[in-house]
Amino acid sequence: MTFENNFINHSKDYIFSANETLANQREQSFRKILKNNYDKKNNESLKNITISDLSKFDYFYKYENKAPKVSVLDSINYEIRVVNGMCQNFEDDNIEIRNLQNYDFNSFLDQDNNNSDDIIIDLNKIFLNSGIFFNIKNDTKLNIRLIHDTSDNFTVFQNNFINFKKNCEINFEDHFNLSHNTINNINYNTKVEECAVVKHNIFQDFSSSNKLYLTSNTVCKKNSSYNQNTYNFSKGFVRNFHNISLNGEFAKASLKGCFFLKDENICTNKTNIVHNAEHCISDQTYKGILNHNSKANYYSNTFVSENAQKTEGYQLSKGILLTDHCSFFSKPELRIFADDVKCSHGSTIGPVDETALYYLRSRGINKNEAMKMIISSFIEEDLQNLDHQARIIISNNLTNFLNSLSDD
Amino acid sequence: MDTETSQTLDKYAQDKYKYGFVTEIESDRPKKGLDEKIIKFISQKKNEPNWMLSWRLDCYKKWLKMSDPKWANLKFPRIDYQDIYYYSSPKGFENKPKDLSEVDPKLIETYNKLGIPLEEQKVLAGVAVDAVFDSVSVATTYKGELEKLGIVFCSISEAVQTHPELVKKYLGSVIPPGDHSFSALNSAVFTDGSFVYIPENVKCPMELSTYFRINAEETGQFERTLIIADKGSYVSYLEGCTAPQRDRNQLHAANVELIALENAEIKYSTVQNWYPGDEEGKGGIYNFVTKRGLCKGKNSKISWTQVETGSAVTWKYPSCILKGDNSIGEFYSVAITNNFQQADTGTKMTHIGKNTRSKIISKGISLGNSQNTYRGNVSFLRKADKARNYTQCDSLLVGNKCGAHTIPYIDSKNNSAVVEHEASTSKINEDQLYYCRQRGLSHEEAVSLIVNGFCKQVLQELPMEFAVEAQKLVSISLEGSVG
Repeated sequence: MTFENNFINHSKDYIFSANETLANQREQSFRKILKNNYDKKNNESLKNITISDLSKFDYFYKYENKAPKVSVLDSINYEIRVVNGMCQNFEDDNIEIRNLQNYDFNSFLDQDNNNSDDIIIDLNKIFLNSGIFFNIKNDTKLNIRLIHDTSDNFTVFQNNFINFKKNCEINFEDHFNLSHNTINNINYNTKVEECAVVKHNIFQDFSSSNKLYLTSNTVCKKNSSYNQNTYNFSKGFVRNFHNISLNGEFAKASLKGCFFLKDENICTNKTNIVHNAEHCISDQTYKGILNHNSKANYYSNTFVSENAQKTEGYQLSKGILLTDHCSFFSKPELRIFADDVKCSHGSTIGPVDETALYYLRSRGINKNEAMKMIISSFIEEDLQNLDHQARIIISNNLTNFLNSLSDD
Repeated sequence: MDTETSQTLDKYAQDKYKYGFVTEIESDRPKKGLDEKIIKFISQKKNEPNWMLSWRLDCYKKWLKMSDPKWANLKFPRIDYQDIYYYSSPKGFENKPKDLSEVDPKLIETYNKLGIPLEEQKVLAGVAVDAVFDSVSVATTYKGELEKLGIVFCSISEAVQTHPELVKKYLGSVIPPGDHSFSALNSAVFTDGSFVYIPENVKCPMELSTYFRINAEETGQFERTLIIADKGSYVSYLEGCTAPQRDRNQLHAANVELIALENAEIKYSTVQNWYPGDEEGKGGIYNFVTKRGLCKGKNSKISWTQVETGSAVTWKYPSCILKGDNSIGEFYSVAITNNFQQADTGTKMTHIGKNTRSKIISKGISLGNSQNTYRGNVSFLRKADKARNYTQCDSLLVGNKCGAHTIPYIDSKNNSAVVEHEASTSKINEDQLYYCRQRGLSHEEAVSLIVNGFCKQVLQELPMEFAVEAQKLVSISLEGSVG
């Protein structure tokens, strides 16, 4: 279905569709996409993405009877099942979860949107059909597991708001249980309040007919800490785009990502960390292993504003190319306006280390096993801080990926 | 920032550009603005053959359809191309003087003031100099000695007359005129520059050098340099630039093309010290330079070394296309920006051939209100088996009004190629400063020592003649201003 038909035929299905301000904004974004008015040359986040492909899809969304559920497993473990972007409204002493209501409209408009030239954000705004509001209360210590269930052919355009209140300590996990032929354009607006400590693990593993565009805008206040780990084993297209603003002193942020690509898959990663306050630390590490004809892009940016003295900002990207048909594009950027900083970035791309391979082979290990050992050790250091369950998920996926190498 | 540092910073801010004098010399120039007539005028002044004129006109037509590149991290007002003189020559230069005795003594004096005593260098240093004043090449020294070896070192205007086959074959072969608007503009209106041809298996026994000087007001300088190193040859080429102190911005858009054939090596060094503008950011040169080298043959090597201290705006990316198998590209750069200077500089290494190697060392130092950006592109194409790149770019920041930015683009399409990139940004290490001060060095001396150490990796790549000048330039630029 054409983009125009999607927009016109379904305009009543969208959230806040009655609101005139938003209707005007949607109309503007709609015209922008129609004109294809994006600076593709200077905006690397649109690399490998065909704009006409993005806007051409069959919009499909309806309220189904599959009941989403919030399960309280014990006093600290919660499992939240989100079905096609909808959740069960729930509140207890620790958390409050509800679907977006009309009165959330102002928060929606106020969201920190520094991706003005991004078609995926524009599409999210135009077709927004679901959204969840999470409120994690003060001083709580919780493990929250969020499972995104999307039914066949659904196009989910979701905008979520998460508030991690003061002093909470949260392990937050995102799992994507996508059916077939789905489009998931999900936007997170996260606030990490003073002294809150958040560990956010994102597991992406789904079949090739699905597409996931995951965007997050996170604001960290004083003394807070936000650690995000993204593991992408998907066979379908994934775009991870994460923005973090360190607005309070002594805030820390860490973004880690591992992606394992094969066949014709494409994965785009973009991270942007803005240091707005003194004594903040940021760390970004992205690693990728590419097989067959896959393509990966990694853009990272660390921006240090002039009043963010005593900043530490580190970036690292490493890529292993297993065949000569895959490609990796990396652009780690530093933009620094304060003088008392320690910032660095490193980037390497290459094949599996031949010396290491030779060492293992000379000890009687066959080539496949040796490759597996080297690749496992390549990401092992990023798995150290994971809990037992998360490690099991990663190990299983990694084993599958490594076994697929031996099949070639 | 401590008081001592502020004091030394202020002191530096008062340091004046010492090459800002104007030589009162009559110049011959047509009206302002750019159109086909001006191009015909330039071509006629240079007595160029028809093929050259039609090439220029083609480039002009291309330029008319293009807009200026906007991706650089630079802010400057739109350039009014109709408000510039495109040709200026010291009067009486219709026929180039045969030797230095025929050159206007005022010009010789100018170059002496700049520290380029042509006569002296000719005799003592053994450096062959081609001096370009505004749009005209003033004198080329040591020509006779070079001719004995078959080396051609002359102005490009002369080469169009004497070696048309080489100019025709290679001009625009590395930087196609349609590449971007500045290259098209230069191709249409270039006035002079150097031409070097090193024949097969000849190692050029001396450094070849060009000194560029913009003297006339509201004049743009568009020089074009073409260096061809034939099989098995070697040449080291030096380039220096200055301009008078003026309130208005002046444009400099140069194109430099290098071609290294099989087993040949070209070493190209630049000390760029165009007038950077005053403390308020008024005046200064807009420096839009396209430099590109093609390692065409197997085992060839091109090495760029640059010390960038001048210009209000610098837009410069000396690049290498590594086409021949086993070819090598190198880029060493020190870029210092102060006051309201802006620099967006770096390199582009394109690996096409097998076993090609490249190395990038870039050091950026920002002071005052300046913005200093390193922008580098390293790409490995499908056939670049076993290619390798190593990039290191470090930045030093002084004061919280300036900015240091690092924007590398790394693209690998070959799984046997290895790319390593590392970068760091920081201020001067307090421990090092403390260590030096303890040993009796003044704050200024300590800073100068540390910064020279910071740049050493690049400065040591410069040929002797330039290393001294560059080191002094770095010291002047940084004297006591880092802390």
